[in-house]
Amino acid sequence: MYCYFEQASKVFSRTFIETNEIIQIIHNLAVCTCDMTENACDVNCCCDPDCTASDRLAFSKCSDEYTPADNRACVRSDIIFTDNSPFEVDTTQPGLFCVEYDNYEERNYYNIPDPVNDTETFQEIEAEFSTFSFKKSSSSLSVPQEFYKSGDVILTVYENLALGSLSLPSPSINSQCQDLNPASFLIPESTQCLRSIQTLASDCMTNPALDAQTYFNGFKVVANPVLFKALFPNETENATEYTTLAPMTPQTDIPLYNNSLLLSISPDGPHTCIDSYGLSYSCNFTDEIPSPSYEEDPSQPGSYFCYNSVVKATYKVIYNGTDGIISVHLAFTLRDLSDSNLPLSQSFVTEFAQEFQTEDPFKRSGNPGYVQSKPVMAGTLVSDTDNLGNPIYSIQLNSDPNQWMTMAKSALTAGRLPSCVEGVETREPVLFGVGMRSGCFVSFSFNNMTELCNLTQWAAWEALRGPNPSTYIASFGNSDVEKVGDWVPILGASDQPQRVIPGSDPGTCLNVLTGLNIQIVYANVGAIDNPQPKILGARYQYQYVEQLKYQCIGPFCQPGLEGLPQNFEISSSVQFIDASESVRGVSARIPKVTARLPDDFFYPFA
Amino acid sequence: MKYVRLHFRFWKKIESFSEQPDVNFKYEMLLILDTSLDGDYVTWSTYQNYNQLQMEKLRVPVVKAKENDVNGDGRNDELDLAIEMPLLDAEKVYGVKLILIYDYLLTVTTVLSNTYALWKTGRSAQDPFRVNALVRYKEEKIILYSPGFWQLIKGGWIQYVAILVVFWFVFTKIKIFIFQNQIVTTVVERPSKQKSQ
Repeated sequence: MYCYFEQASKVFSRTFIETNEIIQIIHNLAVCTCDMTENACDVNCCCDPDCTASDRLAFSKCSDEYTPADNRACVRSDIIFTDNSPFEVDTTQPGLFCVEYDNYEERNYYNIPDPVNDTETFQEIEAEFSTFSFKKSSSSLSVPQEFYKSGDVILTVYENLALGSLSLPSPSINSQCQDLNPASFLIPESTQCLRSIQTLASDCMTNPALDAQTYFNGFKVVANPVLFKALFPNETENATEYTTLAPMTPQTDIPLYNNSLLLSISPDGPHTCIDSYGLSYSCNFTDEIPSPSYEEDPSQPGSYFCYNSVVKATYKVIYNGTDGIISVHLAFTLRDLSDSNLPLSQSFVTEFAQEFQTEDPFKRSGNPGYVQSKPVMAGTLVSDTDNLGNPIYSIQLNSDPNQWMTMAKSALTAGRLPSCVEGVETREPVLFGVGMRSGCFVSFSFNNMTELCNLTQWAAWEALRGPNPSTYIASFGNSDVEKVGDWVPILGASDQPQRVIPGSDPGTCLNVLTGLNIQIVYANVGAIDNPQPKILGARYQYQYVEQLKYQCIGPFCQPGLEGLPQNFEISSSVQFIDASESVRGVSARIPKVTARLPDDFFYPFA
Repeated sequence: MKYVRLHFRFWKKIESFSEQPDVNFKYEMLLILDTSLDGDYVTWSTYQNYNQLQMEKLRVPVVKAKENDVNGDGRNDELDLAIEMPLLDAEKVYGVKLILIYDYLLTVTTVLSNTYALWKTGRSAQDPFRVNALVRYKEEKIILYSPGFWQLIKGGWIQYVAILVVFWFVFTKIKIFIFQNQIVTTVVERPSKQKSQ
C-alpha cells in the first residue's frame, strides 16, 4: 500500500553560479542536531564526536533528536521496546510486510534551492512567497500627475522653494487641531478643532495658529501640476514627489517662484471681526490684515485681550476643469480673545466654485424629494404686482438654509444657563426626517409668579416661534420660490398665544404655554424602488398646561423663602410623520382561456 | 419568516428561521452627566415628574433622533441619536448615563450587545457636551427550534420522492428490458392456472 504526500517546496531550476560543495538531493542532512558546540562536548548529546566514552557515561540522558529519513514502518507502532534509543531501534528492515508510505524517494527530500545572488531573483521570490511583515507600508497619498483631480492635495511652493500642500487643520483622534491634514481639491470641507493655548499672555503673539498671516503669507498655490512638466521637462520622475524645487535645475528660463502658474492667496475677505464684547461686525482693514496683539482694553481697565486672533478661515478656490486653480481667496473671522474663550475652537472651510459662475449656487434640500437630514425649506409669502396690476405671489426664502425653519435651542449665553426670556438668538435648523427636541427655562418665585406669568407667556411664545417665523413650507427639496403652488401653508404659524389667567391661589397660573410641537407630515411618492419624500403639510402646535403650580415642598414656600425661584421648562420639538400609504396591490383579472380548436378540426374530409 | 436549512440530513431535527423585531424608539429618555467626582450632576429626561424632582440639577439639551429604515422593508433598522447638553465652561463630565425607552414587538427577548463606547476629549469654550449614539436593531439571524410532525414529514417526503421517481423509472426500464429479452431464465408462474389444474 502506498500513500503519497505532495512536497510543498518549489523547484528552482536555476544553475549554480559557483559552489564548493554540491549537496546531494537525496540525503538526510541532519544527523546530529544537538552538537551545537565545535571542539567541545555538548552535554547530553550522545552523538557528539567531541564527547569521549567516559563523558557519555556521565550523561543523564541522550537529548539527540534523530529522525530517520527512511519512513518505512516494519514493526507495529504499539510495540514497546526495552531500549528505544534511536540508534538501537531499526524499524526499516526490508521485509514483505513493511509498509512504505511513499517509495518515491525524491519526494521525501526537499529540493535544493539555488542561492539568490541578484536583486531580480530576490524580488521574484519575495513576490511569490512573502506574506505580511513589519516592513513600512508606502503611504497612498494621491499625488497630482498632469492636472488636479477631485480629492488630490493642493500643492504649494514656499518662498524657499520647498514643496508642500495646502493645509486644512482638522481634529484627528480627539478635538485638537491636526495641522498636517491636507485640503482636498474640489471636495468642500468644513472642520472645527481645538487649539491648545496655555494662556493668551504667552501664546497670543507667538502662536502662529492665531496669526492670519500663517494661512496665506509666504507660500503660493500651484495652479496646475503641469507647471512641473513645464519647469523640468527632462525630469524622469514626477517632480511633485520631491520635497523641494531647489536642487533641480530648470530646463527653461521660467522663474521658479514668480511665475504665472503659482498663485498667491488673496485674503480679500469679506472678513468678520468679533470684538471683546462678542459682537460681530465686518472689519475694515485699510491695508493688510493685522497680526494678533496682546493689549489691555481701554474701555475695560484690567482686562487684556488678544486682538485679531483667527477663529475661522475660509478658503474659496475658483477652478476651471483641467485648467486647475484660477484663484484662491481667503476670508477670516478675527476675534478679540480673552482667557474665558479658552480652550479656543477654530473653524476651517474650503469652498470650490467654477470660474464663470454667474449666480450664487443654491444648495437644494433634495431633487426632487427631500434628502434625510437636509434643512426643511420654508419661507414667507410675499406679493408683488406685475405691469398690468395683477398680484404675483412668490416665496421669500432666507439665503442661509439654517434659517429656513428653526426651533428654539438651549444654548449658554455668557456662561449662564439658558432662559426663555434672554439668549434665545441661537436657533437650531429643522432637518428633514430628524425628530428634535430642545427647551429653555422660565423662572418664577412663589411671590411673583402670578404677576410674571402673562409677561413670560409672551416671551416664551416669542422664543418658541423665533424672530421671523416661516409661514410656508416647500413640498419638495427643490421647490421653486416662484411657484407658490409647490408650497404648503404652515397651519397655526400665525397663531397668537392664549392669555394666561392668573390663578386664584398664589403661586399658580392657568392656561400657561409650555411648548411648541412642530409637526410635519410627509409621504413617499414616485417609484417604490426610488421613493421621493414629499411634505404634505406642517403644523405649529402650541401646548398649554391648564395649571402651572409652584411646588411647595421642602424649603420652598417657607416664610422668608418665598423669593426662591423655581424653573419651568418650555420645550420645543419637531416631529416627522410618515403618511406613506402602503402600495395598493392591483392585480389584473385572471385571463379567460380563449384557446379554441380550429373550426374545421372535426371535419378532416369535408 | 425565512427558512434556512442548517444541515443536510434526511430528517430535519432542528429548523431555524430569522426575524427582525419591530422596534420603535418611544422618544422617551433619561440622561445623567456626572460633573464632578463628588456627586454633582446635571440631568434631564422626557418625564415631567422626574424633571420637577430634579429642579436644581435640570439642564435642557438639544436632542436629535432619527430612525432609519435602511432597506425599506417597513421596519426600522437603526436609531441615530445626537444629544447636545449645554455645560458651563468650568463643568467637566466624568460619566454619562443614558436610558432610552423602546417599544418592542418580538417573540424572544433581546439584549443590547456589542456596545462600543468611544470618549473623545477636548471641548472648547461655550461648547456643549455631545453624546452621539447609533443603535442598530439587528435582524436575529438564526433562531433554532424543533419542527413539528408535518414539517418533518414534508422535508423527508420531498427528498424521498425525488430519489424514488428517478430510480423507479430506471429500474422499470431495466426490468422490462431483462424480461423482454429473456436475459435470465424465468418461469412464469400463473397461480390461477395451477389452481385450476
